[in-house]
Amino acid sequence: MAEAFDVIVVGSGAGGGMAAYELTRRGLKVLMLEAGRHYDPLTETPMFETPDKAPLRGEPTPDKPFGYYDSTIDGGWDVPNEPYTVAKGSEPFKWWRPRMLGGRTNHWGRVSLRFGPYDFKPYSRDGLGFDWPVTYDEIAPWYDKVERLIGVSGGPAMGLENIPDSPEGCLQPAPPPKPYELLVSRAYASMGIPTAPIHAAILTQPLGDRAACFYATSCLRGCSIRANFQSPTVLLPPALATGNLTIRPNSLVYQVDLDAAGNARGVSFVDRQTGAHHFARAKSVVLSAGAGETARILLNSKSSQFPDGLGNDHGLVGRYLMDTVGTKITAQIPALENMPRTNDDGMSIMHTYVPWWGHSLQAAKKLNFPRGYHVEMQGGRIMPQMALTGWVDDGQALRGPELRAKMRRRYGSIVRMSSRGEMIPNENCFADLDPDVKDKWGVPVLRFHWKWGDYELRQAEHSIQTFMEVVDRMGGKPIGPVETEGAKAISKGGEIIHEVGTARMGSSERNSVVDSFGRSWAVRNLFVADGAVMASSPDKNPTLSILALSWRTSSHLADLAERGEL
Amino acid sequence: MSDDMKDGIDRRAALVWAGALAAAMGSAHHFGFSLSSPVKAIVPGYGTDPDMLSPVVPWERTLSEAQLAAVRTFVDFILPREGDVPSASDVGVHELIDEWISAPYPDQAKDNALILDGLARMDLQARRRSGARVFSGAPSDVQMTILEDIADPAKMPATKDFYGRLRYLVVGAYYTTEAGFADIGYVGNVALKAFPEPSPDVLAAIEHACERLGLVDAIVRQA
Repeated sequence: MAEAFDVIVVGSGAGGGMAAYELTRRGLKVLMLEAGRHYDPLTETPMFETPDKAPLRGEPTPDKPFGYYDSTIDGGWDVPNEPYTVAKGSEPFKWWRPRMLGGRTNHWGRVSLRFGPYDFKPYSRDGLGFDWPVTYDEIAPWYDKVERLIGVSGGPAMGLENIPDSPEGCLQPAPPPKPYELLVSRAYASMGIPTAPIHAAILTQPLGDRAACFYATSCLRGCSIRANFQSPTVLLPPALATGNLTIRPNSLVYQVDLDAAGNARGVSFVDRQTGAHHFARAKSVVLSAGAGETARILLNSKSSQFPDGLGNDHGLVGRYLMDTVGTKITAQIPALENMPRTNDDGMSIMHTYVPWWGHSLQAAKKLNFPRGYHVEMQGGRIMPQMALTGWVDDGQALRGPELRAKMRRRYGSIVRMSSRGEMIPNENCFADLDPDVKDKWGVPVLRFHWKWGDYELRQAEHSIQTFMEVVDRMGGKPIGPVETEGAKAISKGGEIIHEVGTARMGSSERNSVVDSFGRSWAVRNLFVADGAVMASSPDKNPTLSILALSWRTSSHLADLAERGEL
Repeated sequence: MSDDMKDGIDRRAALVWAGALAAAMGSAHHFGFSLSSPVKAIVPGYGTDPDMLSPVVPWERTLSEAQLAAVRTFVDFILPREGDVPSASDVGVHELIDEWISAPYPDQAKDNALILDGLARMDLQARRRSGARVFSGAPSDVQMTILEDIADPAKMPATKDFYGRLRYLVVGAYYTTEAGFADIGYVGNVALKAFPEPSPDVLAAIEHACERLGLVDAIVRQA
């Protein structure tokens, strides 16, 4: 491409969208290369559409694995023409990728919890994993800025251990709890466990020209009124308005190219529609392709200087891949039968969650695993889908009036709880290049290696035991068999879609791929601004932190550019 | 040989074949899947980037008229009309079943095998009990007796999985329609200015439940 750019940003999701937002605002000319197609949530989002308007009632299929209306285009667990492999002997690993502008910011849950002070210094606290080269206090101002920019609802301040409250003015008010959440909260309270309003990237008040949530239509579909955070509705429009952003969709970057001095001079990419290979030039490069794809680009960027991949002199690229520990239970709670007929759609996620409560238990050595998890929940009188009606109907094979009466009575009495927990990085979880398999355009693909550690399995068991007790205290019963053994209860690697850590930040080039600003130790005009930089993966969902870190990285990049130091 | 007889022999032969293959492969699912998948592989699904605002079902429905009629009777056997509340067929649940079992996806192909097998068994029962060629041709009292027997796995164990699965699909398909929403009491999918605080009757119901369950707050709060 002939035009001169200051920065190439690879990817348009949380990391890339934020990078484009900051860099263009600072006057830099940015070329954004997005592997997927252009996507406009304002005109493409199915708002209010009901299951009966969709094929197969909108149920999941291999074409749309999270259902017909899910805002994932040309992707899911498999992307046509772009395979990945799982190493022989590995535990399963799944990799969720869309191919659309905004990436995974279009369909995510919008849970937006800050990492806490402990989360940045985990090794110092318990000797496991790695410390970050930054503290919570250094990142906190960026969380403040992100919350104000994208709009996060939550609060009031709870004062809970390692669960940062936001300063005044950062958060919008939390919506009131959904009715069923009141009972779940009381059950947890009876165990001494507090619940709290979730922090969600969903507006409860208008923000700028964005409307507040009207409490209908699942956020997983995206949002045409821009009430939730998606990169294409929140970050890219202001970046485009500066006149400094060029977006090239269908551009799959596979390599960072270096000049003779060892600096990045641009990237190579393939046009997914034409199959043509192109080169784009810029003064610096930001990789925000997602932890998997960013690692793949680095590993495929081989040269005489970097025969094992760019910045991989110490073998750290692709290493310490992490995902979130997930478990779940579905239960029927008779106490919730025949509740008043309320509209429980609300924000499409829970309004109330259970922050990790076990720090003092761990300090007293009463738990057999480190770190922690939080509990998310779903329930109430939400829009019926086939899975839900299956749970409401308990399989007693009633029909006619008896069936109808039972469905009416039990509807709203199903409660699902999920754990989202921290994983300790381990030597068995990483991605490298498959020696044999290439994508459609001849580029080597990622090969995943995965093995949950004992800590994760014990944590999974603890969460299931907790769920069983909560269900029991509510007088309910689980639906279907409950796996109590950690190895069976735990999610598959990658399944929670929080993969992070493949190019982690650290205090020196010996222990990390990038510095505390996401700047490559090896190539100083190359930056990583996505989940790859994370040195640990706390229970708090990663997107808010990716946004905060990317903003900080991009601001630093712009500072360097202004000072002529790039 | 009359057409009726010929049809009967063909169907019986097909069932024998089905049974032998299913036994060989360990499951009736596998039989139908292997039978239908070579045909279905060439039929496209809706793809990875379908129009979500104007959905279309690109595949042909494959139930015969007689099979669709049998499904129609089945769905209303599960959810008949009740006063002003529409029946399953009133809201097109039988059409959804046709769409479902005709879809070119693995889960639906499994259901295709199971349901076609079940429908063939319903035909067989109709033939035995009334001499009709197919279920939908039998007198309605015979149809009802057959369905009542199928609904009781103790009487007809061979159709237990068929009945359970088709019933699941019927319930799911019905309650995901506007009529189903109204019947089950779903009142959402409307724009609200604000999400309401729990009403006094909600609070009272929760309080009552907590009292009954003996849920006592045990959170240690710092002074």
